[in-house]
This record gives sequence, C-alpha cells and structure tokens, in this order.
Amino acid sequence: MSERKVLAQNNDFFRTDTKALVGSVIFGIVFVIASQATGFVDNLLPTGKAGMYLINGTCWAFLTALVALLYRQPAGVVAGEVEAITSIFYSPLWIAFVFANALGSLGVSLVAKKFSMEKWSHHILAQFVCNVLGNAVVFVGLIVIYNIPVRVALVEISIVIAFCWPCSTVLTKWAYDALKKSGLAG
Amino acid sequence: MRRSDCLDPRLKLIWCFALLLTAILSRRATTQAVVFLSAFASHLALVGNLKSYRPLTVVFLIVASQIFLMQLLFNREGSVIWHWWIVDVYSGAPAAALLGALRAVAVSVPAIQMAAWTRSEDIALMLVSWRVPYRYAMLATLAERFLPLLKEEYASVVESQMVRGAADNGIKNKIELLLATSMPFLYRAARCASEIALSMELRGFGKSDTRTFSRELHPSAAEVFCGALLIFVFCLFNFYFHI
Repeated sequence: MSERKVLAQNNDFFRTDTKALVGSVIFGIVFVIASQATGFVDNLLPTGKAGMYLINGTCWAFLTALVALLYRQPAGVVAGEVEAITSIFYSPLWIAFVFANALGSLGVSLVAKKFSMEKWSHHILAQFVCNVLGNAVVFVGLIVIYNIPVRVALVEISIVIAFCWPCSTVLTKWAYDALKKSGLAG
Repeated sequence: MRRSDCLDPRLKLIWCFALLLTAILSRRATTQAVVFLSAFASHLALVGNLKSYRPLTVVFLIVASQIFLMQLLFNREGSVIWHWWIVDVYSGAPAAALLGALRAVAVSVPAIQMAAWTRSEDIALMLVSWRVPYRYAMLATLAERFLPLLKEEYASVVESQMVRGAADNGIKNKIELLLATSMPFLYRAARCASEIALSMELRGFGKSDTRTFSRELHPSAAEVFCGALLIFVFCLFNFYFHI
C-alpha cells in the first residue's frame, strides 16, 4: 500500500465510536494490571530499590503508545487516566501520572497524525516523544513530591529514558503490528 | 450504608483537593503530618475504621526507604555528619528525606480517601452534572465493573503459561513470564473490548444524546456551606498564614 494511502487511513487524531471508548477502559485496566505486575518485579531489582522503575517505565510507554495508536484520542487519554487514578493505591506519584499519561498519549497521537506508523523510524520518534514528555512530568513529581535533589532526579530520569525508549519501541512495533494484523482492534 | 456515602461527591472532592494542595504547597513536615492525620480523623469519623489504608503500609515503607536512601547518599545540603569510604551523609539529608516521605503519604491519603468514600455511580453522576457527555461519564462505572473480571483473565493467562512450562520463581523467570503473558492478555483484552462494545451498542448505548439516571445529585444547603467554608479555610491557611 502506498505511503499516502496508509497515512490517509491512520492520520485521524480522534476516534469516538463505542469500541474505542470501551477499548480505552479495558486497556486502561490492562495498564493497571501490567503496572502492578511490573512494579512488583521492579521492586525486586536493585534499580527499583533506588527508585528507577525500568520495567514499569517500559510497560508504561508501551501501553500508552499502543492504546493511542489502536484507539486514538480521547481513548488514549482515558486509558492513561484510568491507570493514573488507580495508581493512587500503589504510588504517591499518582498526581504526576495524571499529567504524564495524558501528555505521553497526546504526543504519540501527534506523531501518528503525521506519519503512517508503518516504519521503525515512526515508532522510534513516537516513543521518544512519549518517553520524554511523560518522564519530564515525573521529574517534576520527584522533585515536588519526593523532595529529591534536582540533579539526582535528572540522572534517574535520564537513565529511565535511555532504557525505556528502545525497549518500548521494540515492544510497541511488535504488538501494534500483531494486533493490527489480527483485526481485533480495528 | 456508611455515613460517607450520603455526602455529595463534589464536597468530598473539595475536601480531597484542599488536603492535597495543602500538602503540595507546604514545605513543613508538621503540615504534612497534620494533613494526613486530618484525613485519618475524618475517615474514622465517617467510616469507623482505617481498613482501606492497611495494604498501603508496605507501599509507603518501600517509598520511604527509597527516599531516605537517595537523600542520604546524594543530598549535599549542610555539613558532613557521617563519613564512610566514599559515602558522605550531610546534615540536610535526614530532614529533606523526612519531608519527602511525609509528603508522599500526605499526597496519597486524601486521594485514597476520596476513592474509598465515592462509588463509581456517584462519579458518573458528578461528571454528568458538569455537562460531560454520558458516554464518557459512564466509563467510570465500566472501569469498576471490569477490573475484577480482567484480573481473573490475567490470572488465567498466567496459569495457562505455567501449565506450558513457564516458571514464576526468581527475577529472570518473572520477567520471562511477563513477556510470555503480555501478547495473549492483549489479544484477550482487544477481543473483550470488541464484544462489550457490540453488546452495548445493541442495547442502545450512544443512540441518544442524553440519558436518564435513576437518581440525580442535589447538594443540601449544609453541603454547599461546608464546601464554601473548606475553600475559604484552604485559602486562609495556604495564602494568608502560609502554613
């Protein structure tokens, strides 16, 4: 299929049908379960003990991008907010997640509006935007809520972005192509 | 029925935000302690026990240990009070860590209280009262309904993978199990979303622009007065007394 045709099919920013709304809630719950499972594994790792949730961060970027790509907006933001509001039960940074999830999802949708999301480079760009925007908000949260020194928060966030960006890109491309091929989320 | 269920959700939201913003705006450890003690006191008065907070003790202990570890290792405020090999602990670190740990609790407790006090139907009604279209407002009830069902789905996916030979002991196996369960769980979630959306549309969801609910929110005069008083007290303490 030509690049222009693919772009014409994919470049809608909004999708408000019932399937997208229900999908946003269902994937929001998937997001919650995945965050709890990965958070548990992260707490066992030395990086998690120092407050760097690498697997959790990868899972966050992967699911944020996946929902925004499959169901677009406002589904991406709704799924993110379901996770953010549920995270009050397992993270004091929940208030940062409210903004991080919304911004990350909107960033992916903006990239998906411009590109067909058929190539690796499109996913690399989308994940870069998602990781940087989301982690920038978490950076502010670490300083304001946890009262962590700015330099320490900056180093932590940089390590998280450096790890999560490539990992979440591979996972998103792999899962998005598989789900699109299955026709389940169309 | 608990006493907290009778209150208007908007009043609970004002209470939650008043405590939350006080915790964020204040830089004193005592204010953080007052914030979460106020939340605990109000919870005891309206619900009668603090069971909702029990599972969070572990979470708060993990977060507090992380904050103390980072502050003690990397905070450079004040003078050196303890030295060992390459580790220097500065005098400003314990106070900064205590403030961070208390603020983490103070930010979480009012939000958990709001979630424990408010039913999803009330959240939907509150959103409808703010003119949010009912198709979006009802997503809160949908999320509450499907959370336990999807948890069961995930448990069954994990069980299926373990029957096929996946192990869940040790960090390496746990990470492998996460990867092995992710795609089947995503497929199930996507299929589940399609089926639920179809059955909702067949029942007329989204056909009309408005929807009639079995009850509506009508705040009493006392609730309106309490809400206004809370906003006044919040502004007074935060912007005049700078607590």
